[in-house]
Amino acid sequence: MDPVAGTAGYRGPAEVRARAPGKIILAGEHAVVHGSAAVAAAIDLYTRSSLLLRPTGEGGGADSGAVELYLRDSGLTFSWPCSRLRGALGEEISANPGAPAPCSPDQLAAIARLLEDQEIPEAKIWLSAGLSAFLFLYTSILGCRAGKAVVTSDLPMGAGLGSSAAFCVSMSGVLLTAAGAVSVGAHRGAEGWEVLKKGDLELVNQWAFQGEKIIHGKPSGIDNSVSTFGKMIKFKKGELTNLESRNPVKMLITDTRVGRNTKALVAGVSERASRHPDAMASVFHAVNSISEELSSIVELAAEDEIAITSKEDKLAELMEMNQGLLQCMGVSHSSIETVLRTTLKYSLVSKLTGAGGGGCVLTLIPTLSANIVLEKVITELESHGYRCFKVEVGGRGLQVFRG
Amino acid sequence: MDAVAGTAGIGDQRKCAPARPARSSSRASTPSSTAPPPSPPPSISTPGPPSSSAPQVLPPTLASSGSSFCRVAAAGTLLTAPLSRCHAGEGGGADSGAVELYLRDSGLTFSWPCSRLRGALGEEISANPGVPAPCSPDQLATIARLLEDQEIPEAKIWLSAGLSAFLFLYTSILGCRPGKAVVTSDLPMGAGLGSSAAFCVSMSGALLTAAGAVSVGAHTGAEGWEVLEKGDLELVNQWAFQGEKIIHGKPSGIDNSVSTFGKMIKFKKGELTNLESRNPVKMLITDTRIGRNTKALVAGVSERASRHPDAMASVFHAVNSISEELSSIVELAAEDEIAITSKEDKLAELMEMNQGLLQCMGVSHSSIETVLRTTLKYSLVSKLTGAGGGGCVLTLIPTLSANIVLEKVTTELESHGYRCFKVEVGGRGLQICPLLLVKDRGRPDDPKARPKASGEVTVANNVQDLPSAPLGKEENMESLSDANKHDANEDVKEEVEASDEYDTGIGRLGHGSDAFGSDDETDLPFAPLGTEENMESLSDANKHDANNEDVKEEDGTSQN
Repeated sequence: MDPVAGTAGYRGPAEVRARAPGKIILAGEHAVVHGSAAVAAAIDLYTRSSLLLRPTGEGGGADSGAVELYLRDSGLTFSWPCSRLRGALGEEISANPGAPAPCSPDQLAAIARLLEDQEIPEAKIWLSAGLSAFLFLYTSILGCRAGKAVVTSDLPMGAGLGSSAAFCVSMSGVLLTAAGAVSVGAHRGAEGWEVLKKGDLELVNQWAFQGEKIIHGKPSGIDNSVSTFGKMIKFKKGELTNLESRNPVKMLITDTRVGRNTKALVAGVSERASRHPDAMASVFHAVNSISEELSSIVELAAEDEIAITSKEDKLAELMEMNQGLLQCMGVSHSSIETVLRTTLKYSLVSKLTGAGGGGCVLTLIPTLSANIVLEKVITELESHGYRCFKVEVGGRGLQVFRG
Repeated sequence: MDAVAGTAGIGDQRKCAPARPARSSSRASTPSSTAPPPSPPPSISTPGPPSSSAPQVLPPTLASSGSSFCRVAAAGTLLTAPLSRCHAGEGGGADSGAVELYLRDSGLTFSWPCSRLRGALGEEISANPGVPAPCSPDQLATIARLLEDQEIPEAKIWLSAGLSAFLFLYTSILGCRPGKAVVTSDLPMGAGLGSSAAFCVSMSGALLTAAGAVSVGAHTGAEGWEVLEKGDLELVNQWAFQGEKIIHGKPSGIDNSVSTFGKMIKFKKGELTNLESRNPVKMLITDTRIGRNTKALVAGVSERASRHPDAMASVFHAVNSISEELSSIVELAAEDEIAITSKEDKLAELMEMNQGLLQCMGVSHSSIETVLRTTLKYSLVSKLTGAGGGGCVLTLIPTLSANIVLEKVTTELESHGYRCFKVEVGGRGLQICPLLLVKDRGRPDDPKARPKASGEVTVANNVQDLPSAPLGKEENMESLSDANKHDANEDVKEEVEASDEYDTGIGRLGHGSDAFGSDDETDLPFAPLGTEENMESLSDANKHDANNEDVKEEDGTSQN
């Protein structure tokens, strides 16, 4: 019996809402696999989840509702009767929101069977992983209680911007809030978006990581951490360090919309490293130095325009250097080069972010640059069929709406 | 133009007696300190100025890396140094000719009267070809004053450095002897392809050959272009380096080394290693025609390194690894198509990696990126070469790639206004063509006529019985120049077999191995012009000699 809904006088929770940001890699992608440091940062593009729990008990009987997921952006709804869930997961269901645990093979098999019920359109076969993660998180945190979750996102999928992590974090956030395992502070009169306490964020993050493992196999954990905690995080050999980034940085993210095979790209870098071990070891060292430097720079407070400009110049130079090293690794692409060339015309510095081979490109927009410049470069990039997002980098993590 | 030849008739021909002691055919490697005041073997003054060609150089990337050079490029230098005294003597007096430089590609001629040179350089002139020495500040100041005489077109202010180098090399090696040098080149200038080094190397080669300080080898290639012996190449290289220092300030030395020695050279911390490159590599060089400030680019990298010492140290390490790997790969022999393709794949990957590192250093440019993008469409790998910021880009052309691919990519690159050169990388270095060097022709009917040993010279001390050569008149000198023009533009065989020996043009009479002072007053007539017949017969004699017949010194006492 869940601690909240079972309370006498409980009228049923209001809809719970949460939003979790996507992320970009500022430096260190690929090299991070080989032991170098990397820096990831939150961006103000969100995945928003909401959850409405159906009141239990009254009248339902065996027909005690369903668990629904509505993906607003694609207009798809998926639904499992609670009885079906109970039947499939059986003994597995001992919702224990306070103790994040990996999805066991049996659970995963059961979830796979549950998915077979659904009609997943052929073109959207990637949905399976996300749906599996949803079912796992939902049943692990809330058991088989009826409820409806709605998800919508600003983030393009599969573009390297952490959309799956943002999904897992925002979903875990609403599920844990609905379960009463985390709560937004009691203070504050006005309604609004709140940040959870550190311990609660940890809990969300751990659950989100388990969800990510279902979607990605062996994720680094940096995506969900950045989405949960926000700001910037340095990541090296499994160790995460939160960075106190000051002065939000404005960037343009250009989605080339060129899909790529991340596994193949990562493997390609490893193969090049095996053919040229010395050279590539030095390349990874250089990337590590860049990430370490970047980590220091973002924590510097810059009070006036001169300091801000100086900080941004350093950032830009590090981005440019990292881009050259990524080209050395062989993960660039003609579409990425097109973005680079275009932004260069406006004296803007860019670097690919993520796996490369297409995907997204970051462009630093200096604080003192004229809006007209930004407009022009966006127009030109969009003329190539790319999609542009103006973002602020290093901002907030998971927020829950207190209604 | 040969001022002397223009002024005098028979008997008035002036020749400086060759100053160098005769040498045996197994030459000592360096014509060193014994080289007395320069007087080139007289044959130089007769039809057949020596011409040398030095290939271009692809300089290394900014950190130490292997460099290779292209055979296609040739900075050709044609040197006509008619003999005359280096010092005032009879007749001509102070008006004893001029030193001229004709830059054929730009149509510019520069000329300094010998008297002016003597006056300006004064005590400085002690032409010592065997001892390369830097240009002293005084010399440089003097040269600067000499340049002021010339009208250097405003748009071509870069000429000054080249002219200074020319004057320095010329006067250091040949003193104030009148002469005319003609230079033409396949190489674009200021594009990072080593045009200044090729100029210095070919000029030094010609000057030293005219001075008799170096000479071509005993074998006679079919084309007539000869490679000097290692020691002679060293001498050329050292002089060329001094010339480079005038043009560039603090050159690395690799440009002139590659231009001199050819093939490929690995260069690290001042140390040069010649690489035995096998399997010529075909490449496309694209000149973006974007000028750039090399100093600024180099400084930019240093500044980036000072801002990011750790990262850039790793970048330089990576480039070092790439260069070392490349040095090994080029020395592998690849016998079959599979091996060749495998070798080229490795080269391409190293080039791609190096390009990324150069981008990391910040020396790329939008024009370079355009070339990269274009060649990438055809699955070809490219990297900038040299300073970056514009300049040239190399594209590897795999042996097995179809010609049509090369044609298409060239067309597309040219549509951007770039200039493309198809080149072969890792070929020959400096070559000398001692064109029309005249053999003993004084006595065509002499049964014992034989070619001289290399370096052997004779000086007539009795001129009456020797026929004199026709004066080197403007027409016949010009016609020879035409022949040379012809040669300079096509890689053709010489019309006559080049001999490997110098000839006083006089024949029998001569002194032995004593060095001749430049104040030798003997008037020596010219030998008859090398016509095809007499050259051919001499070539036979030369071949004869090449079989290592015993070659004696000729000395004044014997009557051969």
